[in-house]
Amino acid sequence: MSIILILASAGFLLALGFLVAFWWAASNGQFDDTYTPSVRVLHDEPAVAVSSDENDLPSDNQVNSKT
Amino acid sequence: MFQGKPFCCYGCQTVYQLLEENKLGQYYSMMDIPAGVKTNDNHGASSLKYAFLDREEVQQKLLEFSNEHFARVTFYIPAIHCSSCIWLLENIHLLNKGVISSMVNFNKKEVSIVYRPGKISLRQLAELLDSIHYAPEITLEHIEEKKGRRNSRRLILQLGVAGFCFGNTMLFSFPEYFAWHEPIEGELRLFFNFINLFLGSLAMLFSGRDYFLSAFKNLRHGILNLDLPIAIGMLALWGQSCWMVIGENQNGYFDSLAGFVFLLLIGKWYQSKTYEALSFERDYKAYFPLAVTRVSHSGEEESVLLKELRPGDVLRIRNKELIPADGILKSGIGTIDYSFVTGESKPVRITEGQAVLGGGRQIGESIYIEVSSAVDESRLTSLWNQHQEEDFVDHSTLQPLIHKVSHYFVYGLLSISLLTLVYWLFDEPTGAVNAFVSVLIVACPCAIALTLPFTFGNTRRYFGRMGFYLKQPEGVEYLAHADTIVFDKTGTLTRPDVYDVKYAGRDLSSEEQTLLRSLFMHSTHPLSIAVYNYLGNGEIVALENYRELTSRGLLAEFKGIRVMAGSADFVEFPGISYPDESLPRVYVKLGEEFIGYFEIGASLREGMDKLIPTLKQNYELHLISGDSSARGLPIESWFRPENVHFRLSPHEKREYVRELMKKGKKVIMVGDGLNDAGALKSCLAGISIADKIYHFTPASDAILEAESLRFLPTFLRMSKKNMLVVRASFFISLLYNLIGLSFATRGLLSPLIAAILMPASSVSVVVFTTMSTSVLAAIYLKKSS
Repeated sequence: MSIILILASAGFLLALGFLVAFWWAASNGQFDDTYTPSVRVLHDEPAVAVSSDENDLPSDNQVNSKT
Repeated sequence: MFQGKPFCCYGCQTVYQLLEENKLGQYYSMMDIPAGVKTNDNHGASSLKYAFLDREEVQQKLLEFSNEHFARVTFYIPAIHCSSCIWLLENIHLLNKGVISSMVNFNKKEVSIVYRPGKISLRQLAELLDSIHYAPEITLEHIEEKKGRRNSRRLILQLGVAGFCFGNTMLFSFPEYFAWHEPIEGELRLFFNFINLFLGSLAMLFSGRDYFLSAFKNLRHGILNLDLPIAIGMLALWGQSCWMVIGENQNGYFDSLAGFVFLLLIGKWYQSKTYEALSFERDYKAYFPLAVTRVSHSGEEESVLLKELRPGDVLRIRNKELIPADGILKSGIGTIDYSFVTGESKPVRITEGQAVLGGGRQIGESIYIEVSSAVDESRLTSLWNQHQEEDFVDHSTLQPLIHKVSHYFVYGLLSISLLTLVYWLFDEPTGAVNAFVSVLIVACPCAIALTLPFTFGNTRRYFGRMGFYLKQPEGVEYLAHADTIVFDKTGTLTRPDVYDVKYAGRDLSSEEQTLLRSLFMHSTHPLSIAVYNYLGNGEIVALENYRELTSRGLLAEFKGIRVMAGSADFVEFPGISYPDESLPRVYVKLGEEFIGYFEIGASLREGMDKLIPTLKQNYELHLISGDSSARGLPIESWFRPENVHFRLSPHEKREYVRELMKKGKKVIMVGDGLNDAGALKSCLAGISIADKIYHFTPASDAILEAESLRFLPTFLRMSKKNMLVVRASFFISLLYNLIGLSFATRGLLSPLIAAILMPASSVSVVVFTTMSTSVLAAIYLKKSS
């Protein structure tokens, strides 16, 4: 029967681990905004890299954007 | 037209240019039509608009974090309205190298920006946002301490912990419940029970803490509310369970305890979900700008914070700017629109040496005023200062249903538990304590506590979809109790921006119409805009020598013919040099011929002619206005003559509503603007009407989109029906309590019965209330929309 004791406490410790993770996430503000991230994830990265402003080659994205 | 693409306005074109230059053109591929970024009203306003952001003390308050290399600021931007906005604002670092990153919170309409103070100043940052037409709104209100976020985080933490405890105690209780034939081994049982003891205590002490605090606080003030039986129930559960675990090596009620706390917190969380981007607490601070332009003795202009204004300072007030404090007009011609302060829609003309009141808006050229009192001592702002001293409406004394029910509940609970105790003491003293505690446990009003959040919360959600935003779910109950409705006129029943224009005179040829249209097009005066809109879109010709004389009229030439429009004495209209006008008029003269005049009256909102008669059947209606008359509108005949009052100051409006409340009337006040702010706070439920809900609305219990005002009877009717749902739901939860009591009084309550009964009652109440309010919403709201 002692194997159940070990398994049960292991399971409980695992659950405690998730509780700690939740605590960390909540106090870090992960639940402050539950809408914007769902939109943000759908946005592509801008077609041009930040550093390449001299490089004026139009990217695919810009060509497509002439709508 | 720019690069062969049509644009709706100059603003969008600027944005497009800016985006193209910085290769953010993708913005436009995200929607079918080129996104219309809203331009702000102060378009092209002075470059000093954000000058106050250069000041050290403003920065200190606005910046959340700053050192030499980084700074972080959060702006409230009402213009955020779609996913493209998020995209553009989060790519703002491509527009300026000083910006490191930015993050949008769509629900709150906020953007947090991390930037390098060395490369871009706070002011430049605000100007950058303004230039792409996401003008940040920075008012006194935003400068004051921000709280609330901490609170909502704490609730989430409590809820999460309670959920964790609930799930795990259930898990560790199941072996006991299912071990019918042979009890589980001693060692294991001890282990499970102590884990449950730990988890149950954690749930009660951390997550359920607020109920104890609230019950204790209310008890000290002699108020019996629902938190008291909740706290007693929790303590009874916990004490009994501890005794069972430690003293008798039995499993306790810890799963019920944790589940109870969890369900209660779900109700609380549902209740606390509010409209984050809307503000229901705004006072004049939100309406006034943060800083104004002060002119020093040497004539230099500087931006100065409102609170630093001293009597004697000279301020420059530009076109469409607000006058922040009472003062005297030093120079210039004041044409001041007091509609926000008094409700009077006609601008007042003020000459040098006359007094101006804080809260007015200058229309026309710049004026200079000398401040005579500090901002918070001006006539308008004193409306708030007085209010702080006495909180007029104490909602808890209104005895809403929940208070009555909790009264009966507490007394009923106490008497039943004592009777049980006495009966058992005579009958079988050994089981007396057990039975007594069982009654306390089983009578826990969890289901009752969940009724209101879910009934009203769900209804509030449906109201929100229709453009009616309640500050708190309890607002539904106040709406249901009301029997009197007080309306403001200007801006509430009438539309602030649309006018009813009538033309009197000889018929205009199409050339003459074109000519007038071209004349009025250039002016920003409200009357000119009204006439221009009346003439409609059409051909425009170029005029010469255009001039606008403040408060008098417009003047221009076309092919040698003089075109004049304005007041009667300006165009020297024959016969009427000082006409007795009830409505403002614009007279027109072409060459030497007098053509006629445009009469500009207020225009009622759509559906008002049906709204008032509908409400009249069930409510006592009042009309209070700062205006001098109804201005030719049919409004007066809709109300009883003794209930219509004109020329009321903001203070008088408040007193009027207070008088009604003192007479025992349950008043709803419907108003807009600052002039109604006092009245809105003095009544049972204040509803502020707003054309743009994210812009200024005075502090109130609810914000109603102007479009939806005509649905007010529906909202009220639905609120009344909601009370039926609440009653039915109370009945259901009392039934469960009776079942529980039948076990408890006989001393038969076991952890298993409690573990079934408690969640069952809560779940049935939640299901019943959400379902029935949804059905109500489907019946009432569908029909009206």
